[in-house]
Amino acid sequence: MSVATEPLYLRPTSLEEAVAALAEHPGARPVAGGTDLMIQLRLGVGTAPSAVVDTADVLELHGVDPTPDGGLRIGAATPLRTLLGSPATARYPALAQACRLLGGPQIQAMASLGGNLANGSPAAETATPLLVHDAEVEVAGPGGRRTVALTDLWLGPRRTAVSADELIVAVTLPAPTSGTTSAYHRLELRRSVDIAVVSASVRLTLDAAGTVADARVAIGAAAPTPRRVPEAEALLVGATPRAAATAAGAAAREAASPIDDTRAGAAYRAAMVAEVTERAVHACTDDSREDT
Amino acid sequence: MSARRWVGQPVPQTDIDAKLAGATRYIADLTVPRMLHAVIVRSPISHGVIRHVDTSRARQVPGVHAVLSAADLPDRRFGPYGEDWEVLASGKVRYRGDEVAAVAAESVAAAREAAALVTLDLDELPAVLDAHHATEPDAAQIWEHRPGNVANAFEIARGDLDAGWAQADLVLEDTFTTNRIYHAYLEPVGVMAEHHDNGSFTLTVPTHIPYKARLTYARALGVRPQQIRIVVPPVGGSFGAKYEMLEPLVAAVLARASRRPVRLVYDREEDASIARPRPPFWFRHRIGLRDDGRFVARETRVIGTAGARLFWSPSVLATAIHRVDSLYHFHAMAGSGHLAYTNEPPTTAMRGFGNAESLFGVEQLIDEAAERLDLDPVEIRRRNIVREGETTLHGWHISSSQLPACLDRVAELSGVRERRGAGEGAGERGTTGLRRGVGLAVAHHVSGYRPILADYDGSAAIIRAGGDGRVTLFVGEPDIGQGQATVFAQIVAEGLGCRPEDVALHGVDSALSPDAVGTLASRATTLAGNAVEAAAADARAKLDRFLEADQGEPIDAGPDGFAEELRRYAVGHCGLPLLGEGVHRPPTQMPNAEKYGNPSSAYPFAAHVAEVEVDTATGQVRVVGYWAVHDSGTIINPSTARGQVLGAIAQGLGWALMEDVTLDAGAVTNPNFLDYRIPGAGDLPDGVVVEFVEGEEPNGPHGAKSLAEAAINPVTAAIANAIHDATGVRCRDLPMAPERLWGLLQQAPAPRDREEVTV
Repeated sequence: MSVATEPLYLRPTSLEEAVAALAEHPGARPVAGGTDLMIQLRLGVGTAPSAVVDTADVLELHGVDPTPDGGLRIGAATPLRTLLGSPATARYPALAQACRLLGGPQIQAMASLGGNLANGSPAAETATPLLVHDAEVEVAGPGGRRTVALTDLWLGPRRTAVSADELIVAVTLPAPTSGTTSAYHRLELRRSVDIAVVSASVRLTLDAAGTVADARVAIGAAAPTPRRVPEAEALLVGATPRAAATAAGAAAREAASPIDDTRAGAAYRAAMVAEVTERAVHACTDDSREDT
Repeated sequence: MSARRWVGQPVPQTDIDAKLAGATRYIADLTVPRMLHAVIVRSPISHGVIRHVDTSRARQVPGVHAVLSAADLPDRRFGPYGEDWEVLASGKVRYRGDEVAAVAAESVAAAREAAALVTLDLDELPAVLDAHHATEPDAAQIWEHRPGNVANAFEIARGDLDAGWAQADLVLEDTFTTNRIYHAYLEPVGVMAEHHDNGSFTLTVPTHIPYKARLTYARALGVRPQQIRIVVPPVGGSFGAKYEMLEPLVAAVLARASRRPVRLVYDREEDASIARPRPPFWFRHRIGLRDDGRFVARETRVIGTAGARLFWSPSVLATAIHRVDSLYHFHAMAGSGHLAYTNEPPTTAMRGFGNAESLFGVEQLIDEAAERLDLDPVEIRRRNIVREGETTLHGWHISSSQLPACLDRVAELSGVRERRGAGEGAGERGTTGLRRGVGLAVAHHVSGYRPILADYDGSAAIIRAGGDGRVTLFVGEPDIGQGQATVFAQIVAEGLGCRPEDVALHGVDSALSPDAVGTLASRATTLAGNAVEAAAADARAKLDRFLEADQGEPIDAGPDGFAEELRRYAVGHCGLPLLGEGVHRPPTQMPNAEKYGNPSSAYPFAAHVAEVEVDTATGQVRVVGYWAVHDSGTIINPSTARGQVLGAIAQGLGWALMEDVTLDAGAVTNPNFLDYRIPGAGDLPDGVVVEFVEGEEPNGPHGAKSLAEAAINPVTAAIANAIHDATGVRCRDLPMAPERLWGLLQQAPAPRDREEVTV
């Protein structure tokens, strides 16, 4: 065990300053709530950053605001508790459910949406809800701004398309079309503060007859990155959710490439991918669920 | 007995305000001038020969005052049960984490930096990573003085076993395993050592058995026990882990070498990697019954894991083998077992102490027997339990028992008789089948255990009541966070005539407190409580004699007049405080060579029912109802007693369903609270019902007996029996975590289609 050099602590007050700080200090990391980064620092996981760039005072990274086309723009550093407090979030039920399950109230008060995505965990709670809601992330760096579709964000476990001199500015969600509903379901080993063993989000747009017109299915902690399952989506379109739920679960299981670790074995994870996916499909049409 | 004023009242914990305000000073809050910080250098391999430990570079780090390896220490082996402890490993390392060198420096950072510069030259040896493999001929030898890696063995037999089996109409036999459990106390291990110019030591250690630990430490340090002063600071929980620890010795040799006080405090990862878990056990239980449900014989074979050194696992093993004979009449029994050395972290005592482990299997076999014999689970137990006034197979005398009433009451509260086997499902949802079931288990424990200390079993107390009205109580049984101080304060108040809040329990300090056996085997309330009661009576009698002789007006204002009484006593004695002394000599016996004799003052009992909801598609188990009815004699404090039971249920639920210290090649893979899950509030059912059936225990203070361990003992079995009732699946291995249960459910026939098992 060696004594890590203390990283510099920087606190920019604008996005330009934050980007400049990242450029000036190679190996710097942006931090919002720090609920992942600080633990990694203490445990010596990964390369120790040369500096941490605190985003608390960068106003552009904060807030939950409607977009002109009826969607939602969520500042990357916005705490999940703020997100949960916004009435607009309820229009994305899977996201609201996932935020509520992430950690506990104390963690939700600190943890940010951008941090949850940038951390790159395959089990990131908010990843699959944002995938099924077709989210994009806005990234800023020395070359300016660019937009990355969420499906292109993760390259592998803890590796993202955001380069070292960039940071996530915001997450944008399109307006949910009418008849759209979504749900998040995870398998956990205890009910109080846990990380998903596997998770799934499903978004369905139903036509007047109750048939699926459009579908999104995404699975978490089941592959090197959170990912969509187009095969499951195709099976759902044109069917009723109830009729296609089991097949969608089976397709999700086929798409999964889970690992063995201390939390669960691969065989169990694979079986549970099917289970949570199927349950998420049912939850979309279940009147008793919390968010509508 | 006259009406009690304080005993039986839900008196708030006397130390709770300081704890809630964060004002209680635990080891990590203590600093003394010139104090250094210690870091231990640990073996990175499971088993190997130590060629050389190079500390030269570590010594160069600024701020470092001592770097020690075994080469710097006398060659000394010692230990509570075997000659298998060393302050720092010499000759060989025997587990990943073995203490090889230690650093004391002016900051933790400097100590860590130096520790990283200690170079270990080790020759790796084949490792033994399984208790069953340990005793095979091809297994590597871990300790030269224990060939075959048998660290400890226990054997006992009683009654005519052949005749017993001959009478049996039904014989049930199965294998059960229990697992490594981390004590998960709030306060990680921390100690402070000071070495004085006269060669003596002061060790500040959160131990529950300071005087017994001191004997071990004296041997280790080559001094007489009187040369070690042990001070017990506030203890942030232990549950058995902190009986006798190695860490005070590492700090002590560093303090001696550096001539500075040394503090050693683990962070959570180090604590959970190294601190000694509950020993895992393999059980083969066999019980024989007549067709009326009466037991006629039992046999038990047990294999446990000691890890690389013996801490308190031998006593746990003995308990696992033969304590159940004081819960049920089996009439004839044979039990045997051993602990294997392995190249894994050492294991030690934890709440329940082998009895809980044994009952996980026995209570499931009894449940199965009830099903086969078409008896209800209450009735089969009622026909076999040991009753008040009886002496059991091993000569244990049950001076009081309300277990029959506890059984009736828990059955009434939970409806277990009517609901068991009802096959309650809670609807279908997708592929989800939610199935409900109820399960009963009973348990007992001891209140003290005679063999702990060879010299004596009893307890002593000193009360000092000063002219300022303050009452200080000295006992040798530390409060380890379980509320002992409050219970003692109530007993003092009852006898002395003050209020509980007037009484402060002084932390155990071998320079001030009575010598003692300690706080273990659920003994403190029963044994020390008697001594405290006697000391209070002694002080009150002295005070009454003085007041009677004193010419002043008699004061009869109850607790309001107490301070004035003390003031007059002190004035009348030129400042001498009122002193009370109490001694309690329990009617216990040291078991003889055949292990026969009554080792405990009193036996507490419990009957628990769990209700579970099993998600058959995922294997997840939710405990949705829980009823616990206890006989602990008179309940001195119903509020803290209820807290003890609720805590035990939570701890047992965690053990049953989620907790497991996992090892990979001898290293703990989940040394943190993310990967090692303990239950949170959301995992406990709403409205847990806790009741006490109060009897009078003749050997306890005010009729009280123990509670702490009896409360965890039935929990895993009650949940296992409930899971079986819900699903038809018997889970014989702990924890009954979702993945394991899912695997069993995959193999099992659907519950409703299950064929009746025929004998």
